[in-house]
Amino acid sequence: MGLFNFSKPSNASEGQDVQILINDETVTIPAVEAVGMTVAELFSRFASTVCDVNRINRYVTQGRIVTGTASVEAGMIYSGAIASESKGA
Amino acid sequence: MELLRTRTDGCFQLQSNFWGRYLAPASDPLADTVITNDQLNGFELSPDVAPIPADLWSRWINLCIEILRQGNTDLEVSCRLLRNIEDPSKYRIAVPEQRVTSVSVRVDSFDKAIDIETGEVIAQWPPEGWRPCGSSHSHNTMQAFFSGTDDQYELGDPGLHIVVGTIDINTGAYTLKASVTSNIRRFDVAADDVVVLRSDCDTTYHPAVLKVITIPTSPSVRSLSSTSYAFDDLYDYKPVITTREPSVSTFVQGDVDDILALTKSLVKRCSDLQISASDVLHELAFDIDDLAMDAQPNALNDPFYWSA
Repeated sequence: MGLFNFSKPSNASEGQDVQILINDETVTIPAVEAVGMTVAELFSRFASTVCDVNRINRYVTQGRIVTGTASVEAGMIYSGAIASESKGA
Repeated sequence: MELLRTRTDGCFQLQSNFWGRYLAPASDPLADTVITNDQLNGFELSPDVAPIPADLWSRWINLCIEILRQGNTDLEVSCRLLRNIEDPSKYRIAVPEQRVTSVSVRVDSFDKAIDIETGEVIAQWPPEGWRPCGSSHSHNTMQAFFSGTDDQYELGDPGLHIVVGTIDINTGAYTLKASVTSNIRRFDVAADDVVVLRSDCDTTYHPAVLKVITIPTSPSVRSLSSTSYAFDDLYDYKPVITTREPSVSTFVQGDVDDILALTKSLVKRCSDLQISASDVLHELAFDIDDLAMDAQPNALNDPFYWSA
């Protein structure tokens, strides 16, 4: 009967938030929730209501390209770039 | 009963019956706001948004017109919008390497794009100091609207997206449909709020952009006579009924059936591998579309086909 044991949400720790950017959209995530994830996991978990995370093919932080498997660090800003498209009529 | 208040999913209460316990949505006694449907579905454009300047927009419109002139049929074309990170009022338009048809544009990578103003090659997307902020594409002579394919690719690509339609290559007239996508939703905005629209601009595209746009190579014939609408009088019109030849596919029905069977097995294979059959078929459809455009012009001579 352990299904309904609830935990408290983690609180943001000021100054250590992780930010993710997709185009002009910004999502701020408390470091405690983000650290331990890979960059790709971070976008997949927190950016899916903002963009099509499956079409992000490049991640950049501090002007450097990082792989999706890089570990997320507290206080960093990660941007994801969508780099393909189709249009139709 | 204890109220469980989540960060993003609302309030719940633990309820129970004879068989067990479960979570049910509950109202929040601390709720302090009523949101109307109009508010929930609406969008208010920020007064800080600087519209795309007329001299830059004119370059893009002239490219749309040129692609219409160059094609043997009405062709689409697409571009990407960039905003300067330091000065958000500055825009760039980049034309990525693309394959275009009368009803589609396909861009496999933005990593080879050309600046529409300077001709600079953008080898890595996004260029340093610039932030992607949307796109625009032409619907050639068709109406300006957002198609299902546009939704598929733009809803997940937040920013400003504009369709250029009903282009008249003789007068330069066109119509626009503009929107902002965010939160996997599309919000319509007035085009003249996001673009400075002037007809007296004489700026045009850098010729280098034409090198990254692949248009169908074989001549396609638009048979205007086959779309024959005849006006019986001023107030009434009806299509001329044309005797239709037997469908060409009748003679290759066996081959068509084989391909359909293969396609069904492809869908099953995708399902087995847990990959998106929809995505695979979408890619395949583009390849077939390309083949159709490169095939004999007869492909477009069906009396029930018209490009508009």
